[in-house]
Amino acid sequence: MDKITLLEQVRAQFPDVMEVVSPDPKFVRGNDELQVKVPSSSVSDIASFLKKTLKFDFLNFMTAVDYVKENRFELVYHFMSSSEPVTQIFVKTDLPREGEPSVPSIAPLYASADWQERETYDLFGIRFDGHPNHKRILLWEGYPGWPLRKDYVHVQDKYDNGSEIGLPKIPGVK
Amino acid sequence: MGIIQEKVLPATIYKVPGMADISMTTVDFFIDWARKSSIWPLTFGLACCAIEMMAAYGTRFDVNRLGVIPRPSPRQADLMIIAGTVTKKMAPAIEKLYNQMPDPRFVISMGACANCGGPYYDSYSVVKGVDRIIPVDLYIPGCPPRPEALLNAILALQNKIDATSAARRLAKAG
Repeated sequence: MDKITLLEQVRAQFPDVMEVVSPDPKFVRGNDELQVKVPSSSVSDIASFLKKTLKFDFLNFMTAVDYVKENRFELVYHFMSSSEPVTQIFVKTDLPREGEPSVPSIAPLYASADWQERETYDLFGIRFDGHPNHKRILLWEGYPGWPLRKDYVHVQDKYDNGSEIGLPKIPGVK
Repeated sequence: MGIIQEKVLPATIYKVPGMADISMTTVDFFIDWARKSSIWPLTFGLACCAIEMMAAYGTRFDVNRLGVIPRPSPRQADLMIIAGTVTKKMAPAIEKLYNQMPDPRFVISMGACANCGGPYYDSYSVVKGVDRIIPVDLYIPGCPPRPEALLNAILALQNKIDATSAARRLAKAG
């Protein structure tokens, strides 16, 4: 399946899907990679369509990008098909940075989304509604803040400031 | 017997006709010799320094010939090799393991991360040196240090144990 046919099939089902063209040609790896932007509410519907109808049975990765100047998060999903590995689709969606951004979880569809959504929640603070085990994965429970957000300010703890555990304060450490 | 004949221990050898030789030495020296010749480290590694530590345990460098035999329990260990980055999530576990080790216990801090945080000094999740949570006997610089450096640290630790007599320690404690 080539890129144009794939886009037509997706747009027949979801008319508000837009193709994204990379502004710099050096970031385009091949002609078989389709990048689309979808509304955040329809992520799980599109994932379900891709998996069940178009046989994209493998979620390669998912992650988030913090565009702090444009005041948005962008979630990126990379789907692949094991029967036709040449065809790949990148599904992107925008989320507002204010409040508690949330998006439907695709962990019930793709098992590999489980930990990756937890990691994205851990480091960006994006909630995934319907996730079977929605909690932090790398950092500990009760960690203050979301470290990969561009406006993250680190809160000093007892391991940063030695004077709290009986060691001299390191000069230069705030 | 080789150790006594090489004058490592101050000992007297009595020849008994028709029987095996009897050697006599002081308990103090004997205990010191036993302690420094059987430094058992706790088996755990934290990051890439652990790979170099494993290489030191392997046949090429073979720290077994110095009596260094990795032990899986802190109750049986004399030495803790902090081989790698100490994260704030791992710090309570290291403290607990150190407290579970019987006295006398020694700590080798291996590599830049364990010494001072290394390249992760400004990270939100890394302790700025393991000496902020437990006392350290020897620091090995390097990123990561080669197995020879760990071997040298174990030899230096043997000298340190040699210089710290068990009898003097007991007298000091009493």
